[in-house]
Amino acid sequence: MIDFEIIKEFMPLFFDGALISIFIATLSCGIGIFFGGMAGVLLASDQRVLKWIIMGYVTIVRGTPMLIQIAATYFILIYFGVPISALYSAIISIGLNSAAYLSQIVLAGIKSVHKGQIEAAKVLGFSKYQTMKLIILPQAIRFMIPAFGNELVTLIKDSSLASTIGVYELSKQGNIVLSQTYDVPTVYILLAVMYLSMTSIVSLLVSLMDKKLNYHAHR
Amino acid sequence: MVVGMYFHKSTKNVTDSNILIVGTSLDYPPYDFVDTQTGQPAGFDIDVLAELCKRMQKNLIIKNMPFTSLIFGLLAHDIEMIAAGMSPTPRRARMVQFTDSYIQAKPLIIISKKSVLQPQSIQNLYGKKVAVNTGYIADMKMSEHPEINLVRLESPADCFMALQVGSVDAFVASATNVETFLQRQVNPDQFALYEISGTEEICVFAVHKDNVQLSEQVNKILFEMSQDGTLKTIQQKWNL
Repeated sequence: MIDFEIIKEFMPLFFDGALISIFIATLSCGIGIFFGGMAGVLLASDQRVLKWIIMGYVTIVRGTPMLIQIAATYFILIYFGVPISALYSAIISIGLNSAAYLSQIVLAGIKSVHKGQIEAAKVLGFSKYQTMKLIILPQAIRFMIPAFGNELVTLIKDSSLASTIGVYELSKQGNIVLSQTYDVPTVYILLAVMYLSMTSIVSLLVSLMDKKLNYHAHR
Repeated sequence: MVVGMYFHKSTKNVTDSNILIVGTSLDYPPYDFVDTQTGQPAGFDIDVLAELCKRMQKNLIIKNMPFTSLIFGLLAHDIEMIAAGMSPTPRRARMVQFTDSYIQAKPLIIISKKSVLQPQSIQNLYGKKVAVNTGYIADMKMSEHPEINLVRLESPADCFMALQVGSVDAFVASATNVETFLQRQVNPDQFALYEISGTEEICVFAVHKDNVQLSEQVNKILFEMSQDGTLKTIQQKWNL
């Protein structure tokens, strides 16, 4: 059922695709953590107007399919003459999508810090900024690490959506090999194994990091 | 006669002699597409199939699947025949059996925006971003020129979209595809067309290699249909 000749012949293509997939997932996760982190902190603050804008953004992004976001971002950018490649356009849209989800995770992380600590900080004369930086975030980040790991795993899988605008990531390479060999079982099983290996490695790394960071924490 | 859309139902080991299960990819107007008004499959292939099945006294069942999955569907006995504007190639011939041709397809055409590119030869595409559909004849022909920066997209509609917004410089497709697209354009003059000679292909149906009986039957009826002018009539109906 599995044709190892095909796997051997096209392995370089699959590896190229896997690298692109990891590249997309890593960069967009970076964008997601950066903007999602900022949005999450702002959502926990008392900036009413900014909170409204962010909530609007989150509603739009969570309420529309990522497939459409990726195609729309690319075609709109190109239409207005922005010279961007399909790859980076996909990274931006996946990253901004992930920011919307991560902002909620960050918000939940911040809220998980006990209110008593904030009151204590206030009594001790900490400013709001100091309270956030020195007291809330260090604790909240521990809570968030596993969620960030899950997000990276999700993004590795979601990176396959970039194929719709012609990015040669793993699933696209699979499709091209499929169009030349017509060997559906071999290609799909190989793709599944490759995605599973990538996501398993990421999950493992994240759980190791989580253990290390939480070594002294008692929850 | 029932023309039904048929999704995801397994029909392993089709033995029912009253039905013919045909696989197609309904994203290739005017050969195969979904009529948005009726929601039913329509197009040149579909009409030929309908007539074919009438003469074979079978009920036609159409299964819609991605173009690249069709041959596997045939090998897995999920479908009995492929009718998707498919042209015979050596690689495909290793896996399936082709029937006689039912239409002489027009050559491949390079379409681009005049403001971007006015191709006079394939060499003009070197170093350019050129859209093709993954696994289509244009993909195979253009892949012979590694100098071309190929952008492989799923359906012709995706490619036309990419061409219109300018994310690719040109799109190579069958002339029929391009004509259908141009008919729907408000301003077709903005596009430059270049016909790649020597790329005329025939379209054939494909059946399983073991199913000699079916291919003989289909060939016989296709011959009758070309003799009595039925094929020609259907061809004219779709402007092919």
